[in-house]
Amino acid sequence: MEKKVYFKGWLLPVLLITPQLLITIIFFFYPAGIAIWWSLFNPDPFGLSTKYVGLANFEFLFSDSYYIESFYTTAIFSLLVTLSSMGIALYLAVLADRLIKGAGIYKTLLIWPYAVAPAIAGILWMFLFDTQTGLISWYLGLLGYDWNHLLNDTEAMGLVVVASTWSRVSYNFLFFLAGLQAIPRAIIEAAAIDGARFWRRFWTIVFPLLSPITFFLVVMNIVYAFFETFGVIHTITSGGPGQSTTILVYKVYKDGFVGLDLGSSAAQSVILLIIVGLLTILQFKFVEKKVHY
Amino acid sequence: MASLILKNVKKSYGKVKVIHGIDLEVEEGELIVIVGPSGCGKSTLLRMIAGLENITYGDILIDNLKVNDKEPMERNIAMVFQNYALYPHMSVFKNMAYGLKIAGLPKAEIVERVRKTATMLELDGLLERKPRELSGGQRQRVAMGRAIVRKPAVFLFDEPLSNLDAKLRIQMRLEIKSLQQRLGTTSLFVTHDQIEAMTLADRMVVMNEGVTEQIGSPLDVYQKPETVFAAQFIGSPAMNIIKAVADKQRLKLENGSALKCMTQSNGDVLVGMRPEDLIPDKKGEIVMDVKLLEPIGASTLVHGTLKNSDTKIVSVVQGLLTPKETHPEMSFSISREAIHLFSQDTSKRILN
Amino acid sequence: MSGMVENRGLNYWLTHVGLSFGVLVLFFPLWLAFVASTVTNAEVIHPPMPLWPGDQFFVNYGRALIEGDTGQTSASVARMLLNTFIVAIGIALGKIVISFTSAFAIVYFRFPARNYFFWLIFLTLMLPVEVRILPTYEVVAGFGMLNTYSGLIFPLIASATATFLFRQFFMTVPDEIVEAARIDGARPMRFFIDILVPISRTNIAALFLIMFVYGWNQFLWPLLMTTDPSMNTIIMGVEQMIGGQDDVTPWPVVMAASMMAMLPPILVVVSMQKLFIRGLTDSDK
Repeated sequence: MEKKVYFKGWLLPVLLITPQLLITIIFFFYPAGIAIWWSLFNPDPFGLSTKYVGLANFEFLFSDSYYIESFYTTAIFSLLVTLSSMGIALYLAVLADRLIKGAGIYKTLLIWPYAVAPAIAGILWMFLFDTQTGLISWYLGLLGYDWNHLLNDTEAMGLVVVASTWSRVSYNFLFFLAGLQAIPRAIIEAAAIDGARFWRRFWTIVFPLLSPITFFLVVMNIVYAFFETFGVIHTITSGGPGQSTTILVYKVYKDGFVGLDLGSSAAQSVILLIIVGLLTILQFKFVEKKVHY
Repeated sequence: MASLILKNVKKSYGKVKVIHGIDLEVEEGELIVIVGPSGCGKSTLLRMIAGLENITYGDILIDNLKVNDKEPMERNIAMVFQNYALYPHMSVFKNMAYGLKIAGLPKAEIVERVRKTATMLELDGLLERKPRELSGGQRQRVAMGRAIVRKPAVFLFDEPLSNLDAKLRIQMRLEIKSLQQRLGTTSLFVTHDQIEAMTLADRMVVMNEGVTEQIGSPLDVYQKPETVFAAQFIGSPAMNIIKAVADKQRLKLENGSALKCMTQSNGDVLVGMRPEDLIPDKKGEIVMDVKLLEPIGASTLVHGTLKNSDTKIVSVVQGLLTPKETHPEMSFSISREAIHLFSQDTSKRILN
Repeated sequence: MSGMVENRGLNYWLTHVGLSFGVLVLFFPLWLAFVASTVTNAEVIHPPMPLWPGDQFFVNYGRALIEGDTGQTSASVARMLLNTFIVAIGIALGKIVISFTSAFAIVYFRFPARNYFFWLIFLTLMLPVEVRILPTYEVVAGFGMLNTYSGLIFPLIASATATFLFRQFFMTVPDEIVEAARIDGARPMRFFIDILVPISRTNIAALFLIMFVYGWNQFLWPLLMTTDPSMNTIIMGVEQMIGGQDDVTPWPVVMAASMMAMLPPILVVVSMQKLFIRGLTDSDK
């Protein structure tokens, strides 16, 4: 935090930081505190009674098969989304990096999905696979395959993964491309002179040099899959069929807003808070090396 | 009337003392150069005068006003930074006008002052350009223009020429000197380059590790260095320092040779001899095992060691020498006036 | 990588084929959505739907804009677009103003408990609103801010990510410029307005773009806290147009609404591409 030069006085900076501080306290820390309170005090939804239940909500969750299942679902979902969206993005970035001209055009053509809300991505893909009117489900029907993601667990998971991946590829693409273009040409050329052909160069030199970005993107994609995909899941499957696409954040919503079990939902929020907190710390320890205190 | 006075100025960062008590009186219109190696505290001292660093102890007076606790803008000073510190988004004109605008000068006067200063510095056609469109030398001049326009009591220069290439540096040196004389403003100039110090200074402050080794005119420091440090810092190549034992008639050098030298000292001394004062003399008492010759055009640097010892010495000899003339050894003599004597204990000059 | 011998000939064409394929896959759903927004209900309901646009463009878009969802109580797309625009601008501006000033305070001053503020900011860095969604609802309801623009905006600018980004940027501004300004007589707020803001122009613009898209695309929060349809935002509004299992979804109108929901952020991203990409890649690392 140490810049050598600074201005004297304390009143002005305190005034300047107050708006941010107020808003963050009122709309971030206060709700976070309430979540913890609810998880420990199990209020009823109509605000009529609260009683201290200690860690009972948490204990219940960890013995609840639905919750454990949600953990697995989230893990699988994040893994699939992260791997596929990063893999495809890396592939496209490597291709784009090879071009002398034209990389700019492809960039424009590939960047726009970032601007599409995940919920809309969900709608677009749901439309393609709609059980009655979807184009792709119809063609699948012609081939003898009866597509119904409203009944089939795997198909449901598959569809939400596809929609989430579709939505995320451009973000990863931009970062990978930037990372690739930041590698000094001289290193690649030296390797070529040393006799390494493209794929060898890629795996032994380029990919290792990309590792900071890769690590960063893994964390960011996991967070994306944990939270931002709410829109995708809500529009396509609403967590179903059954619980097969109910990821953790969706369960927080369902149990709390629909089921009105505030205590359990709050406890789930707290657990998610801890998970993301750990991811943030991980991110900072290994990626953001330029943060000094 | 002294326009800048430092009284026993000290600075510590926590427990670490970096400036150990500096006294200085600068007359109005003087160009003082503070010179010393990296880390000696010269920039810190300058910044304390500017008000960018706090003073731990002592007083700083500008035009007889104590400024210890005053903000930079209240001290009536202007500063030229090593990296120019121009506002990147403002034009040259705006850069120079900024301080005046804040001071509330009427617009007409600001325009006049900036224009005049720009002409003085040959920046006329560049007033609307942004810093990134200028060369290093031009940016340097804008930085100076920004300082000049304020008409301060003191100019402070923090190694302003260090970022320029050699040729430009020499040119700017002359410009700064003539500009300062023309404006007559008291100036403090910090540098690590002893040649800059010698050519620019009315007086020099030679600093080392937070203390002043010597304050004096360049000629004084060159001819009568008061400490071994000052003796070796000023003058290039550096003065040769040789251990010796003095008795009233002679100096017995560490390699055994004896130098005829009338002196009042007795006992262990350090003998200082500038390379340019060593005259080749077949009968000279100072004998060098020559290791290397460096011809630099009109003269030759002769590097070697004092015969029968490991002490390295250098001599500057006029003209081009051939190895035949210089190998395997060469003898020199030196005139009495050119011998400097220093105490081995205090490293301070001994009056002959 | 380019320019090397192995990049000519077959490899060159394969590269273009690969990239074009990627482009096609990304565009396909969008294209189909557009086609669907220009045809009649009947053409969509009986697959396969046409692959080329029809003639119902004005009908569908007009209906979406003016009536919104014909079946349920939902606001018109025009109204929702307005709401979303206000919210997105509010979030972008709000976030920038409060974070720029607090980053300035943290970097360029020393005041008591300064380090605690930094840690406070740090804690909010990666916790998205979804994690604290229900308690936030409680808080906002408590303030009577449900169904208001401020209720839509404030919780989404509460995390201090932008403060952190500006702080990182300020650390790269050379000290000497600040010192020169101090010597020139600039007091802190003068320095702020005359120098710091202009120097940060590009970062501010890039962040504005990113926050605008972020704000525009919010789904869960508006879904929860707007019970009055006239306060709906477009993203959640479009989702609500889709009927449940039993209702028949008026796809053409829904797709028209979706297209209009997607268009502003896409325009922003594509037209300010360079700035946008810079904002993402420079600051997020």
